[in-house]
Amino acid sequence: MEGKIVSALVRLLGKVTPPILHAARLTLGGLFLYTGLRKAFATEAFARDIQNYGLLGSADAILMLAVYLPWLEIAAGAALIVRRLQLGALIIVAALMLVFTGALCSAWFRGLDISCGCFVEERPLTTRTHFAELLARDLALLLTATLLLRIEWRRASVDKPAAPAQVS
Amino acid sequence: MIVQALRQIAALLGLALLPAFVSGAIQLQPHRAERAEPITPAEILASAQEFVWVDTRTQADFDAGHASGATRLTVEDWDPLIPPILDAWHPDKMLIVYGPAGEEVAARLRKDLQVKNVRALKGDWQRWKAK
Repeated sequence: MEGKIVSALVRLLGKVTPPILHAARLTLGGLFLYTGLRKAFATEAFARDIQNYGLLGSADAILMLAVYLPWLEIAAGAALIVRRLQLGALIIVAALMLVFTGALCSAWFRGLDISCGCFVEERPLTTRTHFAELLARDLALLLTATLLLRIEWRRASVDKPAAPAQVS
Repeated sequence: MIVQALRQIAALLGLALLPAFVSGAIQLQPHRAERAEPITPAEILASAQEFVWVDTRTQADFDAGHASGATRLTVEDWDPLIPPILDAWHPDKMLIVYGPAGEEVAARLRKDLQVKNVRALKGDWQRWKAK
């Protein structure tokens, strides 16, 4: 009886998991595509957001980052959606999320009250930054990206063609 | 596996480069126009113009020493710090901005005041240190 329940659960999990992972990949890709597009056409506002973190001293470095980063997000997000170059896209997304989370933690630690720069949104001056919420969101995205990366890495390893046998 | 991952990362980094280059060229064109060549101490000494000095460093650095007659201005505290500079400034006087954010503050002053007589200092300001 127990064995039947367990095998039914495993079957159910096998059916449910792929659509969930598929949805997670599409959500992550869509989010990166959306935020990338918003920032790509608001370079100056995004550069101000980066500057507010106070982690980069050079104005040129900030501008270059503000120009390039959104297009990298767009490329990685689009790759996740169309399922091309997925492994590379997931590594980039996970690495970016790690950097964003680190920058957010550093801003929180230094007591800055700044816009996170994720959506280049206009933040009313009267509202304070809710770092805990932003951090929870970033950590959830980082966790999703890491999980998807792990699965994709495993899949790519299995799909890898075996080396031809040596003829003695 | 690692080679495949690295290839894909390189492809995506490269893919992002071209649109970033085009977008940057289009969007930053006016920004570049707001920038002027930094002024050197030699040019200042050779100039007969009057200057208004703007210091972009932190309050602590400013308190420790600044150019004679300098006023502090940073992008972060723009609104509260700009009035004294406007009081000291006259269209005939050149604004010279120094400190790590010198070029950025100079560009914003050029944009906000709609004047071209604003230059960032290239080099050391200590020669003009208040005694």
